[in-house]
Amino acid sequence: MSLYSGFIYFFGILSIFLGIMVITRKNAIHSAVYLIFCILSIAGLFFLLQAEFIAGIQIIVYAGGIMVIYVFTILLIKLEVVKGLKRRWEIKLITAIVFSALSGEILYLLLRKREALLPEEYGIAKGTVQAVGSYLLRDYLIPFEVVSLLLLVAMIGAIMLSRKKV
Amino acid sequence: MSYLIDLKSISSELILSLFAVLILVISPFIREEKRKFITYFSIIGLVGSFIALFIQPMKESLFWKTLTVDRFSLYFKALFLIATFLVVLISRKFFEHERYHKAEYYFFLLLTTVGLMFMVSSVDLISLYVSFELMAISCYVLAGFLKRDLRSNEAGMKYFVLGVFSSGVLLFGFSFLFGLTGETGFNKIFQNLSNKGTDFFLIIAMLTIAGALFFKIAAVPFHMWTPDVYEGAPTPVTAYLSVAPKAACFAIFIRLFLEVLPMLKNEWQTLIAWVSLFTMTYGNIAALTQRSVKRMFAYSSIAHAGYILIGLAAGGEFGIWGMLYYLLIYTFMNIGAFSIFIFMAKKEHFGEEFPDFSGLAQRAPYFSAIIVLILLSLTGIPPTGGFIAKVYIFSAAIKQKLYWLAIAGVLNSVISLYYYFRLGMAMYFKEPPKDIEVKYSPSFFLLLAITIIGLAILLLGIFPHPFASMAKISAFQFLN
Amino acid sequence: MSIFIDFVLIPIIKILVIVTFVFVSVLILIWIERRFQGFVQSRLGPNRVGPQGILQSVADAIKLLTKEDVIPNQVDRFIFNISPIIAFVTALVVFALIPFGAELNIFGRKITLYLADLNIGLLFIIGFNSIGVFGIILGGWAAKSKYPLLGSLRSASQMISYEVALIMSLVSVLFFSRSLSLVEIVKAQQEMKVWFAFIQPLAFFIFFIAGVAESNRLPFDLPEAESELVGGFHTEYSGMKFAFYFVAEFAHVIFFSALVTVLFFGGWLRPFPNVDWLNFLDYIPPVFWFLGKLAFFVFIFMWIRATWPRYRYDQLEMISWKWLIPLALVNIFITGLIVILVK
Repeated sequence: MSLYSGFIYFFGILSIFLGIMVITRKNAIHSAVYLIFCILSIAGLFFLLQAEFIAGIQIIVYAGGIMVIYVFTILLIKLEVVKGLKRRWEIKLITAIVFSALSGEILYLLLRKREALLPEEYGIAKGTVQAVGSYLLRDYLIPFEVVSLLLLVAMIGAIMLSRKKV
Repeated sequence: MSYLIDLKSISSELILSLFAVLILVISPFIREEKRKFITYFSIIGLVGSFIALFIQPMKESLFWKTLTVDRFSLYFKALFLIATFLVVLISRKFFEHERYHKAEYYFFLLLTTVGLMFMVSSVDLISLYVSFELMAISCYVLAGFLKRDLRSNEAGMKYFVLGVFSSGVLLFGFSFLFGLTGETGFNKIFQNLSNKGTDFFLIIAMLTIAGALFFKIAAVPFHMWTPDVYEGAPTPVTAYLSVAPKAACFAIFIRLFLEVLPMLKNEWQTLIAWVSLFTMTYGNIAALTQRSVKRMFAYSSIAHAGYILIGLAAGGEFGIWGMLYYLLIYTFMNIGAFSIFIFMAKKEHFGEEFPDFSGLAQRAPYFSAIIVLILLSLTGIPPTGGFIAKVYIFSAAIKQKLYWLAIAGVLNSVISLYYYFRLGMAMYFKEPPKDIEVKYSPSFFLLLAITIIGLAILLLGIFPHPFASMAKISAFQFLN
Repeated sequence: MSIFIDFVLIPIIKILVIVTFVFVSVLILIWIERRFQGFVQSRLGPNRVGPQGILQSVADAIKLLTKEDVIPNQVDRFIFNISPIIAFVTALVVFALIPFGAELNIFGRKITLYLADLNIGLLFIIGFNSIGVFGIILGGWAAKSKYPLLGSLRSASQMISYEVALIMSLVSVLFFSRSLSLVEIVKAQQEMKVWFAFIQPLAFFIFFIAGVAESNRLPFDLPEAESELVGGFHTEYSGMKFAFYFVAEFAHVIFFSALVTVLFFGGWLRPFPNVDWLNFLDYIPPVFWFLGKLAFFVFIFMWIRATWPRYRYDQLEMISWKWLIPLALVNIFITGLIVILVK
């Protein structure tokens, strides 16, 4: 086992452990803290898979941006209300089914050893900033521009709907 | 800089987005009373974009194979522009009546149309998804646009929560397609898949994509949101939602299933045939029992989605051709049907129940005549366009030996006759209520829209040939 | 053996040097800040412990380390303990990417004067900087008392608004550097023979203001405004944990000065790299240029702190959203236009 795969296992197991901690905590804010660390450790996996840009974005957008909003929201709600919720058995059942379906699917894909390849083996460039940039501004120029309209719509819509003045 | 030439081919989208953003920028500088100007402004944008459709060059592949401008997409773009034009015409009366005439409304409406236009042009999973979301997010905002109105809030919230879920399902399906092939372009996915043969995961991908699109076109079993959203959303928005996004999703159905997944033809044909049967039967039976006219039209639009799906299930030249023609006439019929409520709007929720329509013919004869025309067309009775469209669709089903589906379609049309004519009966054969004195004063725009719709329905029914051949040319690119 | 030296020994030595550098300079900075503020505001400042009170910070450090660690009853212990660590670690980690100089030859071995040079260096730094916010938000929440909570809420919105300006001001620098690696950015300035501050003054201006706000210093220290919020988010902290927050804040100051130096003032390059007759300046080792510039910006940070009154909360948000962000956008637009036209 090389050092490289050692690191992959380390971050992989760490992510799983932190992910389990996220869903088993009773306190919402504890879950959020574990989720931050979980995201960071997944960013570590992206680093190892040479998707450096995605790793950076994972840290900035998810850990730094979205999680701040999450934590902010949790700070402003009453946690006691959330604690009182009982988990119904139907929900548990559905969760179990979805979970086993998804993990079964991943296992199946891994076991049949066909399509699970590293990006390089697909002939895709490394995930450096340059590679991602040339994809965004060349191959996917139109989607990239449409996204700007999409964000404009989302922003104006959010402002318009949440503004107090009718 | 070779791609700058490609910009010419999408000039109609560019014009429309430019006008949308301009509306947003100039609206703060216009005083409240002069907001009418915005309506004219957006009409200019729509007309300009429509003209550009005929001028811009067609091109097989644009911007590194993410878009295509072919006859099929041009047909749909023209359809969206017509639908948006009619909706803009009927909007002003509604929002002035509600005292909520905002420039943002036109901004969202135009950008939804831009999203739809990119959707039908996309030949790449990513550009398809991004434009799909542009359309979807603007639609959520539009559905909840009337902030004071609780029903509109409810509609916006329901549509948002369920719609986001369906977008997620769509993306899930796309991820399977990408995972199986490593490509995002339709053409490459098709080539890659046809070398491999069918796969269990390919069927999952087909099912999830179909599920998400069924949601948007409100087909059973993903129709639950429709009556509530259609009832709650501002009426012009309802008219728009029931027409344009549906048409775009049918276009995606055709493009994805015929260009990318033809190897699963047997599977999706069966699926769509059954969904179509359930959709039209459910829509018609539920429409029978409604007391609110608005909800009745919501269910009837579900039923119509079922009829159109017959064309997809039948496939082949006649099926697709019939779908395109049906969608065109459906655009006119449904916008006309929902503009009734804008005409009727007097006080809160008036004009949504059957009794409100009693004796309408005596008070507004011209308008009632056109409503009857719309109802005839919705049922599928000559000499209206609805008849021709149904003939195309059902004959396509018979050609493909789907006799049971064609028979079910005809039977369903017969059922629909009952509830459509309940409304017609109320208008012509019942006495107007004595206690309420109502005077109808439609605005110029509303009259214009209604007249255009009436003429179009007649024209499509009596002289179908030029339009049918347009639909035919657009549909035939998918054969071989 | 060589692998062991290259990949284990040298990095460990570098890490030790960097951490010691940060700690020692924090101690010195605290003393300088207090003396300097005393001087500016016509007070004495600490002057008893050691000559000119120079040992005062050491005494304070010993006091904080040996003090009883008081944990109030009502706090959420897990979060209360972990948040000073988050603040502290994120403030230190980013130093790994700061290039203190180019390469050195020691015993025939090339040694780079930075711990790591990442392809996405700048993104990494911004990312960890934004994670540092959690140290403050969570710390304030975990204390479960009103002033810390108010402080942490303020800090969260302040950080979010200024981060936008910070990142946007960097974009126009990237037009010239064409890389996100900090080392490459300095090398780009070497090749262009000009410091980016001279071709991007507006970006520098925005970046510096946002940097002051991001490190919660006056005039943007609303999260810990003493007159309104007692001690802000760290009101309930004492002893070691308080020291962590304290060091983190000063480490931020040093870090932002270092970043300004690298991004806008040529890192380890000598002044005026385009003027030939100044070549004799090259005899001074690059590290000293870097440290000199760093010291200068740290001094400016203190100067601002000593002279500027605190902003009101709405003014603070207004500065970012109504001035800095639009200015940064305009700057990006103009720079992009110029770059295209020149090409």
